[in-house]
Amino acid sequence: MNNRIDMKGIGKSFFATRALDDVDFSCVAGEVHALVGLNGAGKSTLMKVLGGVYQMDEGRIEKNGQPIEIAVPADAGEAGISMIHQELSLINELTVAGNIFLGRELRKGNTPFLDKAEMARRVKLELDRFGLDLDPNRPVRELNSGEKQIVEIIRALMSNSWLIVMDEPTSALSEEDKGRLFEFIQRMKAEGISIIYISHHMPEIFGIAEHVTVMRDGKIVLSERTAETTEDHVIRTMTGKELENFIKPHKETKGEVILSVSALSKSEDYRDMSFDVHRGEIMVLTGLRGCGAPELAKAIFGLDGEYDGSITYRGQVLKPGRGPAKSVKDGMGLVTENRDKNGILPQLSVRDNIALPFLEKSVKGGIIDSRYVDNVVGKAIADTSTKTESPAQEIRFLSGGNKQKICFSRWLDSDLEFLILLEPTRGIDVHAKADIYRIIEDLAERGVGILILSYEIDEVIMLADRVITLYQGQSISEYRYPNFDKDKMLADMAGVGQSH
Amino acid sequence: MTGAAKLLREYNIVFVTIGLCLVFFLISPRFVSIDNMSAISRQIVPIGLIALGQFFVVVSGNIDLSMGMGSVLFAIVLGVLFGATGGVALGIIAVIVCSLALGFFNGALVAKLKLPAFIVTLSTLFMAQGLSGLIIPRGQQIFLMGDFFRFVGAEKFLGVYWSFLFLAGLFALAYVVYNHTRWGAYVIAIGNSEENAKLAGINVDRVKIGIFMFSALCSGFAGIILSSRMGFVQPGLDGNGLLLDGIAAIIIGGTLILGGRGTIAGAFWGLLFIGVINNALNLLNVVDVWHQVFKGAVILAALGVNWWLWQSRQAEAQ
Repeated sequence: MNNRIDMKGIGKSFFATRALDDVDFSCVAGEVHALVGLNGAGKSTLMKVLGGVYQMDEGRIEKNGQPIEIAVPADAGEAGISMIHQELSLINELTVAGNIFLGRELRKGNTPFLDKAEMARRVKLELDRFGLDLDPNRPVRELNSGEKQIVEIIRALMSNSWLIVMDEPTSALSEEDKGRLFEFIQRMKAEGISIIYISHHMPEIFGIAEHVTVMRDGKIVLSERTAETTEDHVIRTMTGKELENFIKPHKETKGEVILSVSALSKSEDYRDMSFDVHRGEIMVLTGLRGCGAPELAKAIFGLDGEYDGSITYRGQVLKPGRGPAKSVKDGMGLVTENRDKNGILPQLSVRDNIALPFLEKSVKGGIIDSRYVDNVVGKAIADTSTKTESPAQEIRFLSGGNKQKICFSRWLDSDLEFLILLEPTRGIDVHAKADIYRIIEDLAERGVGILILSYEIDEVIMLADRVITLYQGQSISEYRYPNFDKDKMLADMAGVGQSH
Repeated sequence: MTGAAKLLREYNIVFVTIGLCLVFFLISPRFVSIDNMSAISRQIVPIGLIALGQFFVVVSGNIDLSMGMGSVLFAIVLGVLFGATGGVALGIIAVIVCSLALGFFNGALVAKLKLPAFIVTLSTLFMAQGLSGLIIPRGQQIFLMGDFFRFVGAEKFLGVYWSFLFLAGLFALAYVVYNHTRWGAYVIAIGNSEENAKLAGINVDRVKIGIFMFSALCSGFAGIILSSRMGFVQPGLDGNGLLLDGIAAIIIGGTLILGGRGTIAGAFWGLLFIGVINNALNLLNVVDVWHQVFKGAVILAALGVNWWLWQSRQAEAQ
């Protein structure tokens, strides 16, 4: 008999917020069920209820028609449900087999000694069953993210799971690994395994899922066989509304050139790049990942001096690799693509994070003028509409969007003349996105020259005064507002018509 | 990466130790005499016990600073009970019981109260030091005479000190436990990610308490062997020097100070490295102050190289 899980009438509130409202969700063995929705739509809350991390307020869960209780994560395991998180939970220094059997090792008879050969043999059997080529004795630290994910899934399957929840499994995978994962998923389906697949990628969903469920504001707004709906329809139900609360203001004004890049080359990364950025202009570089734009941005910000050609800023040629401290002093700013790693200082308060780059300017006689700092911080929080309990709150407790606003607000003081933004809205929900677009426009309005790297075509079109497309380190084409041809841009970025 | 480079990277400590021996041999041929090798094997035993206990603590992502002064305290417990009863049996039992109690205390505070090991064991270090001075006032000492102490401190089996055989046996046992039992895998798992270890259903608290009990037991053995060799105990013994030599040995042997990785064989080579330096600098009559400076420089060089190698491996893994 085929296994199935039915979640019926699930409700869950966090204080005043209704996170899940009368949600019905089912999953049948041998099927891939895609679960989509914007950040905060309730997908992960629903999955945490299923996984025993959260307790539902109302509703019930049935396995094969019988009510079951999932009070703790162990109960979910008992029912055959496993979660594969984006942050993989493997131990790098143990082998593939060691990880798969961690916590329930096989021993040689009644001795305390591990039966490593038997564990490796069983893992190999399971890998073979799905046509996967992986050595059970390899240390996990040597594997790439795709292989690690496979280990994690095999671990779930070998602990008798028949329902696997995958949260954005392809976000860190190369094209090759994606192909391998999809093949693996097909084989799991054939073996009667069921998968709940959380993703934003429509082609993936429509490629592998039998069923798609869309959540919005804690409710199910669409649940349909994929064969009977379309990508467009799913997208429309997901957002409910498009980014209508931000419309790019039309402007003609253009200041003098603030930054000029001339014949810039760095062996593997970019070749013969030349362009100007004017004060008040938003220049966007776009392409596929690996197009060389982040490396170019590093050279401009003085983090990397290994290039040929020259960069002129405010009429002066910049010394290669002069370091970020000098750049900041000269009125240049950078917001990195990875805010948690390179953007914020997690242990510090919101206030200290904002104040960091201009502390030097706020020193009077060796002492930091804290009233001046408080003023700037207060204004920055208000200008960016950052949601924080107080400036004293530690930044790590803020949401991704609010952290990103803070990374921005650091640069809002009046001395800023040029700002580099790498993927400014990566992993941020729609509302925070609109706020961030507004901040960028305000800065440009003030005469700041802005250079953005973005991989999201709709964002590029929404923000840019001028766009340069890159392909494998070479600039392909240039577009000016409002003459943006989306299809042509995408073709340029994808290297259509390029020789290699 | 060529095979030779890989070999050099994985086993650099072996080459460095052998190279160091060659240098000392050239300076003073007496260095490689059987007598001196034998002396080294005896000198490294207390450090080796500290290193072995500390190894599991460090791989699990913790540190036990109380091991050195713990050894001194346990040696004094042994000495006092020997002085009072004239026998060693009660003293040995007391050392084992006291050391396991200290280890349980350290481990329970780290595991259950979630206190950083650095804080807990720094505190128990001072407590051990204070208690030592309380039991025997500073400046006084108790002499340890008799068959047992001569046996532990000075007797050989087939030309090898019993104490060294004991250490070697313990290392072999540790090797098996670390590589071929669940406990070893759990120590590595906890050192890599406590959270993930918990998710895999491992009783992390129990493993942690066990690790600290083992390290304290090792310092108990170190106290017994050290005092037997010297023939007396006193509260002024340099327990912290012992602790630092033990930590240096395992780090030089490739144990990652951040936790999560290390090998028993590496720790053993690191121990030999420290033993060789200590011995050679004594043998060459290097003035005591310069002795320490030179030792520091050599350790810095060895640790620096190890750190770079680790970093390059990290970069390679990216």
